This record gives sequence, C-alpha cells and structure tokens, in this order.
Amino acid sequence: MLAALLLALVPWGRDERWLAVPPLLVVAQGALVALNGRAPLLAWGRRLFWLMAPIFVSLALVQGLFYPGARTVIWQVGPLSFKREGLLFATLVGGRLLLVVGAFMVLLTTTHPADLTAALVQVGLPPEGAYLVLAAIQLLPRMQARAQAIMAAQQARGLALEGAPWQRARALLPLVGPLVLGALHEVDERAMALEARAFRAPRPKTSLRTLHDSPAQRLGRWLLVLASGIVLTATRWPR
Amino acid sequence: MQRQFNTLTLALIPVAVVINIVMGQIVAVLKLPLYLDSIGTVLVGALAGPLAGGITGALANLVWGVLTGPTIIPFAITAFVIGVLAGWFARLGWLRAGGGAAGLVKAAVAGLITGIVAAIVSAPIAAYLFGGVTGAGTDALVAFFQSMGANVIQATLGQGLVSDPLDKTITYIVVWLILLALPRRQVARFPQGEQLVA
Repeated sequence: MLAALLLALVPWGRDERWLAVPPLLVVAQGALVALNGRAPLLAWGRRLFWLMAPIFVSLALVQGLFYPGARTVIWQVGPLSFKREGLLFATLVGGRLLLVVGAFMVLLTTTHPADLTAALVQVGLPPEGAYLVLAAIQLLPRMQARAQAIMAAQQARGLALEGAPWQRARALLPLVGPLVLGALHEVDERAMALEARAFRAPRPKTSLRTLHDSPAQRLGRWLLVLASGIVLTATRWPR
Repeated sequence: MQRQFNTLTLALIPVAVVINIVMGQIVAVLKLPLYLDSIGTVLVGALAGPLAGGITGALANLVWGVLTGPTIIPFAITAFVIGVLAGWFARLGWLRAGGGAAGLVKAAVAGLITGIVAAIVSAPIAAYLFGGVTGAGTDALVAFFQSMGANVIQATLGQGLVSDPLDKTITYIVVWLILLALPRRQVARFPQGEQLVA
C-alpha cells in the first residue's frame, strides 16, 4: 500500500532555466500513477486538467496583461498586449502549482482515505482526528442529497432560485435554515452513538485495517526527503 | 482544552465541516457573489470554542481538498483563523442570541472584523502560491487592482478586502439567526453554550 507516497521534489528556482523542470516531473508523476494499477492514469490526468485549466487561463490573462512593471510586449492583440515578464511569472507560478497539485493527486488517487487516516493513526494521530476526517467524508453525500431535497421542496412551494441577484439572495435563508437546523438535530444522536461505543475511553483502539510498511518504502521516503533537501539547496544557493 | 472537545463537540465538527461544503455548493448554484463556506466553522467556534472552531475550518478545507482538488488546502490557515476568531467573539458575548437589533449589529460587526482579518491572512497565500489568481470570477478584481498600479500582493489584498468582509458579515448574521432558531436547551449543552443564550 502506498500509504505515505508524496513526491516532494519541488524546484523553487526563480531562474528561467528551471521552467522546463515542472512539466518533466509531472510526466514522472503520471508514470508513477500508471505503475499503480488500481488508479487509472486517465482519472488522474482528467482531474488534474479540470482543476488546473481555469487557474492557468486566469494566470495567463491576469499576469500576462497586468503584471506590474512589465514592459517587453511580445504579443499584441488589439488593445491587449501580453508582456514577457508577466507571462514568465505566470509560467513559474503555474509550473510550481502543477507540480504540487499533481503530487497531491498522486496520493489521493492511489490511496483510499481510510487507509490514509489509518496510517496517520499508526504514526500517532489521535483516533478522534481520524474520526473527524472519515465521518465528514461519509456524511457529505448524504448531506448533499438532503440539500437537493430541500431545494426541490422549497421550489415546489414557489421559491425562485433564479432571477435578479436580490431575489436569489432571498432564497438563501429558506435553504440554509432547514439544512443547518436538520443537521444540528443529528448531532445529539451521533454523540450518543459515540458514547455507546466507548469512543472516548482512554484505551488503545483496534483497527480493521492494518497497513504493511516495508523497509523499502521507509527507505524510499527518506530518500525523497533527502532529494528534496538537495534540490532546495541547489536551487537556492547563491551562484 | 478538554472541555472544548467533549463528545458533543466531536460529533458536531464533522457535521459542521459538511455544512461548510454543502453551503458553498448551494451558493454556487444560486450564483451569488459570495462564498458562505464558513457557516459551520463559525458555528462550531461559537458553540464549542476557539480551538474547536479553528480545527473545523482547517478540516473543512482539507476534506474539500481531498474530495475535489488540493488547491484550497493552503487556505486552511485562513479557515483556522476564522474559527478561532469566532470562538473569541462568542466568548466576548458578541454572538449572544437575542437582544434584537443591537444583537444583530454586534454579530455583524464581529463578522466584518473577521472578514478583514481573513483577507489579510489570505492575501500572502494567494499571492505567493497562486500568483494572485484562483480561477474564479474574483480574479477580475485582481487584474483591476494590478492595472491601477498595485503589485501582486497588494492586488490580492485589495480583492480580499472587497469580497471577504461582506461575505463574513453575512455568514455571522446567518449563524446568529441559526443560534436564535435553535432551542436554548440544545445550545446550552455545548461547551460554550452559556455565552450564547440570552
């Protein structure tokens, strides 16, 4: 199980020479996902694309056009002029982001949340923390279904979800009220269920999931940390 | 610390995390120029205390990041601060349910202050990590401020100061109304409930 896999190789170099590094490393991340049969490469790539595409477009527009102090115009479209310094800044930030987000996505597409929290508990996270994360993840689809039902019910009573901004803002309260009050009503029951299972008892807890952490994996993690340190000092060292 | 985290709080936090996320989605459906994704955070801060509120905020961003995409995880810092502030304001009695118009104004002012602080905390994160943009409609504001001669961090701060205070003021008013609508008996059972019932 790839419980603690996280690529930490982030080139923080500000030099133009480093701009080619993030795309290469993201390709490496993709290869890593492909190696792990359970998480299809396609899903990883698609999620990464839809997450990053709006940010990239926005970066290129906002910083390419309006980067403060930029002068060298490289592309003129009507009244708009894309400037070199702004686009460089956009590429730098974009590459950095792509890499960090890609690494996280490798972790998320290969590891089930329950495995992740089980691993964290094994290294010392209190079980309460694991409960908070997993309960929230499990509760979300149910609550989304309830929100849909409330919206449908209020619309059936004549609530307008479209129209002028003021009208849409007025629709907020009839939706928030039932949703939040209904959810809070559930808190009591959840607390009793926890107490009934002696969740707060100060004893070690047994877990349904056991994780296999091989020495090779442990070594690999330390090597990654070491490599990140080397990259960091190499890019930051004053030349 | 122990008192803030009794079993009731522990059961409340995941529910509040989910309220944050679902509210954020409802606001997106209504196409309102707000976020309202910290109602749960402020609620826990008020009911259970600063640390519990902060943890709710951070956790909400973490879980949301795990489910959709990790770009909002860095803003867990902002969410933590929002929860802590909500806890402090509740301790000061600014979120006490009741008091009519005066109570409403107090809650609104607390929200306004929280919004300003949230903008100040978010700006460096948005500027250094994301180059000032988030891929949302508010990016136009960043472009506007940059074209007026601001640098990246000033522009993101300007954007935050335009959208955050309004958003948090409305969030606090909504939470205040929720506290008003909840049975007093239920509110009083939470660790900090005594400071909330009028």
